[in-house]
Amino acid sequence: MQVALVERARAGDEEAFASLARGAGDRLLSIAYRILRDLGLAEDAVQQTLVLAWRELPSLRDAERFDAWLHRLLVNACYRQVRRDRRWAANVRVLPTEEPARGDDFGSIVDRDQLDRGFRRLPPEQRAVFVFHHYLGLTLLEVADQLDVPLGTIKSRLHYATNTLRAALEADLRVEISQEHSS
Amino acid sequence: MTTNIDFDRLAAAWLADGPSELNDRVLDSALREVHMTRQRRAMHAPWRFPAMPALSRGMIPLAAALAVAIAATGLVYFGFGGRLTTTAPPSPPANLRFGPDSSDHDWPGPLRTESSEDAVRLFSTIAFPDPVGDVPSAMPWVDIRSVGLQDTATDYVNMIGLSVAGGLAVIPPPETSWISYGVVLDLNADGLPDQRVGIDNSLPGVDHREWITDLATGRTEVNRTGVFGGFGAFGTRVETWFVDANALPGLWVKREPGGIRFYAWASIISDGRIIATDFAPDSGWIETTSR
Repeated sequence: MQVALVERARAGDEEAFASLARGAGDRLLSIAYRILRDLGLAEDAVQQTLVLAWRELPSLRDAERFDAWLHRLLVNACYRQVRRDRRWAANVRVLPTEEPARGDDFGSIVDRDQLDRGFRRLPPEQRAVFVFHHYLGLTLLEVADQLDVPLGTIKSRLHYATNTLRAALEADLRVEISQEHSS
Repeated sequence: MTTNIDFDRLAAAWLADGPSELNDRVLDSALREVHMTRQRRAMHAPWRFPAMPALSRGMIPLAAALAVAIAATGLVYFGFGGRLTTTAPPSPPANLRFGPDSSDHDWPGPLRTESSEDAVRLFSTIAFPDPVGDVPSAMPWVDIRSVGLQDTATDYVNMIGLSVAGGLAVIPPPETSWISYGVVLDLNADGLPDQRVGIDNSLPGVDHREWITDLATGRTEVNRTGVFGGFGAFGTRVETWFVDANALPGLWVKREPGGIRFYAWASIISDGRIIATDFAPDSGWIETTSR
């Protein structure tokens, strides 16, 4: 069904493309938000992705690869959003606290807060790999295929991302960090 | 100490938080923009698949022969002439160092003046191949690999497209690396450049700028644009993008009626010097066919 829609959209059928867009929109927004951690930026990235997908669709020869191709467009759009919004890493201040309490469900508020801060320090390429692996549940081979990046590079990016986030969880909580990226 | 299992579960739980539904407003806005956006026919190899150039129905026998010839030798054309000369700019050497008003003017690099004799004829949807490896391998984004005509519909004639060897994932600031692409037009086939049309990264904060320069008067019209640009000046219309789905630039140039003569260029200025330039063709002009 989707292959038929892709082929029709590729031939210029806007209604077919609209169907594809409606089907993919929620998923794209979910991914973009988790990479960018900002709803406005994520919505912009999704909108750009859909327009770009329409424009470039004739270049996609294998209609069955539509989803992977769309994900790649989205990730590139997220990278561009990060470049535009150069203050994406907010000031980070870690407040001193006792041993973090663990709730019954996984991740106390403090843990999640520290993960969030650690994640914002990651470059967008590492964020994307982390999201594709942990949120979408893809294997590293699948992530490499989706992002069209060598497997070794994917492994490296995930390794550095994981180390950074683990360090954020286990860092000395009395350290005050202020980090701002600006042009 | 966070164990691997703890970390993975924590990461998954953390990632599960957050919005997961696209606002209808965003989708509607995207579809409105889709309605106003033209699809781009694949000129070069489509994503992840090598391909022969697309053929216009009316030109299949001739174009098939040309496509095979190009594939076999990469050097067979219908009519080829011209010799490479590089002329000094008519005015004192331009300042090549990027500055506050650089984006108001034409690209400061030199122009080529070519022979007015036979030019390479470019037929509908056939790509003119340019040798890859003309510039340092570290800069594939200014190594032109083909130039061709984009045949999208009967009302778009002589629409030139540019393809380079490698994409540019991250656009650097112009102070570091001032990157440009474009075409030089010879409107009356006398061998002298008449217009320079281009795109570059000289405007941080917007996606890119596009400009058209009337070389006779020195006047430059500039458009500061988003992802997909488009404007017209001096009888020429352009539609451009600096980075597409494959991180490649795009430059469509249209003039009507009739064919036009042009050559394409891609270049980088860094630290006040041109450090890489590629032309297509390497000498002479390309002449588009008219319908």
